Amino acid sequence: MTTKWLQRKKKKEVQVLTMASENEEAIQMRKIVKTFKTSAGDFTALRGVDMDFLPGEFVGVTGKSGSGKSTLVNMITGIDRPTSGEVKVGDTFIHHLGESEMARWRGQNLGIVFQFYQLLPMLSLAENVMLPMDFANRYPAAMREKRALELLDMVGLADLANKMPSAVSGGQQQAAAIARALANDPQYLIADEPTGNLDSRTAEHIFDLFMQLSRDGKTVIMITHDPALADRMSRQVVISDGEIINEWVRKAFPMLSHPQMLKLTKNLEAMQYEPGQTIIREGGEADALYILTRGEVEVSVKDNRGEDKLVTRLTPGEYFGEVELLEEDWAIATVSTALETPVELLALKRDAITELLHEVKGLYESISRVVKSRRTENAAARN
Amino acid sequence: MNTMLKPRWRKVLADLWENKSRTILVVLSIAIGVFAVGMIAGAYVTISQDLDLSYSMANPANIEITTRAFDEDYTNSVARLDGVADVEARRDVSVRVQKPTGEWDVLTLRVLPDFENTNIDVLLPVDGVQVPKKKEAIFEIKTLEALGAEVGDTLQIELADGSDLELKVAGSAMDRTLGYGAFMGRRNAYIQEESLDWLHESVYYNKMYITAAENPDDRTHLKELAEEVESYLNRSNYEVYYVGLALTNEHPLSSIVEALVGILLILGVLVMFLSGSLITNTLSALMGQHLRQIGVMKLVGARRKQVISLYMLLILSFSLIALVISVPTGSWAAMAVSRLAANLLNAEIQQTGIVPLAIILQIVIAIAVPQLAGISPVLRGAGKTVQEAVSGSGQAQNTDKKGWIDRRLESIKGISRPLMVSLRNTFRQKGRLFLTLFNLMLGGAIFISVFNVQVSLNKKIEETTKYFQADVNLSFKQPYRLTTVESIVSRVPG
Repeated sequence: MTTKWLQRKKKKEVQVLTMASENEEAIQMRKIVKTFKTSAGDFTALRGVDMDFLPGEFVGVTGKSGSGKSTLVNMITGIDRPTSGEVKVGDTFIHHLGESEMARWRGQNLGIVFQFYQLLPMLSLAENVMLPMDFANRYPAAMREKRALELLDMVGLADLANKMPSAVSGGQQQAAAIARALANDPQYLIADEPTGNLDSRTAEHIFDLFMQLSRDGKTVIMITHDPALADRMSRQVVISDGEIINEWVRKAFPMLSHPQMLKLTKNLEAMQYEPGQTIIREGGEADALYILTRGEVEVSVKDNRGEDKLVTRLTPGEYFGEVELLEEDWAIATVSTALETPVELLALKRDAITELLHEVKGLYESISRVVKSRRTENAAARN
Repeated sequence: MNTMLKPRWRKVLADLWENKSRTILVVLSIAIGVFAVGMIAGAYVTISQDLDLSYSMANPANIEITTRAFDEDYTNSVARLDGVADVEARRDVSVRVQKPTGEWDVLTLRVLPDFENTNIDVLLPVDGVQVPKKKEAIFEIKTLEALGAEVGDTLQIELADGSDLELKVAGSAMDRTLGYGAFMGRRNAYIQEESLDWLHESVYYNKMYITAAENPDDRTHLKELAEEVESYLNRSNYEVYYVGLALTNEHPLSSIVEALVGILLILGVLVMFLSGSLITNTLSALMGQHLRQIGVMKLVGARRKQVISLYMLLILSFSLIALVISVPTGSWAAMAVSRLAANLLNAEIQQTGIVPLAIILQIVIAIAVPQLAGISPVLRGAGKTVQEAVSGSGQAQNTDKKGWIDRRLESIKGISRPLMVSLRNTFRQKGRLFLTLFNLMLGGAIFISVFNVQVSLNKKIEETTKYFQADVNLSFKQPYRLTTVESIVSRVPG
């Protein structure tokens, strides 16, 4: 790799997810650290998390137990406060609010759904739905009941509006909890494992409700343990040991464990290229693996006549540089950005990935398969 | 669904209704204290007002003078003295009376010169005639009860000379001026002057009942007036054997009764403190049970003051239910206590049972004490962060700092594990431990106080009884100087 193109690389701080533009109403988390004091000493649950959620996104937050996903969501709901860092929801830096202001703000802007429904047992489903309107004084008193019934109708509980929570099933309670979360028509819905306590059929119904709400423009953030559900959301955020795993790393190397993904995440280097620029030149130095995150790149080789011949076009999520990393020190093909759009890449240096290649047999095999495939493609192109 | 009521107020109603045993416990805790305060305050007001009122309505003699025999007309000359409003003559004749059961008792027959025109120590007619004829008497109502006789009966009496006569019970009346006499069970009946010769007695009087023209409630003034009257009598060669003073608007026993009821009032307040302490305990437990609900309410937008108002309203509801129970029962009990005291002291109760001051006091205490007792646990519960409340722990940032007592307990060796667990649990929540100890102390204090009051009352009655009673009681036909009587009695062997 020449010094010249190294200079062209624009090094910048790794941004795990796409940043929301300043004008978009979104949830922004900046350098969030949360440390709990325990008898065994301090425990840091979140380690400098940067994260953005865009309007209308349906984001799944996943991770192992104790990874920090509930703590992360608690920072957004204001249930807990960060030790340092800022959370901005819409125009509000929520942790600048006092406890009562926070409650009022939460009542008007957030809808929260829990795994165990948390309906007040002494109130009917309709009264539970009316409760946030009552506290927030959001709608005229005469309208509240009508709105509660409409929301219950929306979640399929119109006939059970006057039932007590104990008289309906878990799935129906959860549907009522969703109706309650929507009572004040909040922009954001936060759900902490809302399907975790439900059978698969009921869970599917509840999930569909969230999908519909997301389609209706609500920003939905849902903690889940179910990877199948998470895959159906518009985006998945995986957290491990209080840090966010890069989603491109997760997609590119799903065989890795979360700590291993996190290790790679920490070694990522972001790069940007203008349209038409060469990233790797055939025969040049190559000591990194590149994951394409934006735009398209063209892979070409010299044919028998010495002319560049296009082998393939790579799209976001695909990676290149693996042959050089595994078998050669020199590039076996030229990789250039396509002419239409700029390209963004994440680079993993050889040192960072070599150790994992020895540790994780699945990773080695996966990359080997790609290498074999690429070599075949290159050979065909040269001929 | 009740559309008139906001869901949060529906929750208050549900909290009241759904845990009935807790509601009953809290309501009774409040009601018992409020009942006690209402009963005692009501009785205090009724007795202190009506005892004096009843006494003053009898137009009691401000000055009672016992002297040698005089004619009724002589009272007119005393009545002309400055500062004297009115004077009436009286005389007591002591006889023995046989009860229907056959037992004998001492009866004082008080002679009134003119029943129809009596203005001092006026009798309150109860039954039968108001003016007895010869050989008839109006019996003091309690005397009649004690003798077991009724109006219309004829009772056997024995005179000092040993002769037996039959005295008809022509009527009954209440003598509201008896004071200690009523308390000590002295037997009284009232006769006309014309019965005196029937009783083998000469017609004369030896007591003057005097009312003051001014300042009838000023003891100093009455004392000066009594000295002037005594001086006047002495100048007229009437020896004065006894002078008694009494204020018009103060029952002779009112200070004692008010002191006793005052002590009971303090006990009532102590009971209210105990009740407040019980409320604090119960509400602490309630807030503990409701922590998660508080967290959920805060999550859906409830502000701290909304949560506080919700639970303070719950406490207010407890208070109102307690008031519904304790106001009527307290008023009834106050009336019962007042009537009991009035009966003991021969007073007439004017109140109808509603004592506004007592009810106001009950309302203030029933509302204020539970609110004060509940404010701390409610503030504590409502002040929990959502994290603490939803987790139900109340200790999200538990640093496990151990206090001196915990460290001491841990250092104790050689005791069984269950005992150690028990000890640690005892000292784990210092507030709860303090509250429990406070309750026990207060309960003990009330228990001891009640016994002290009882012992004090018994002692006072015993002392008072000693004042009036002796192993041998002698009644004289006419007054003698004490020194003369003492000199004669001291010469009797034994």
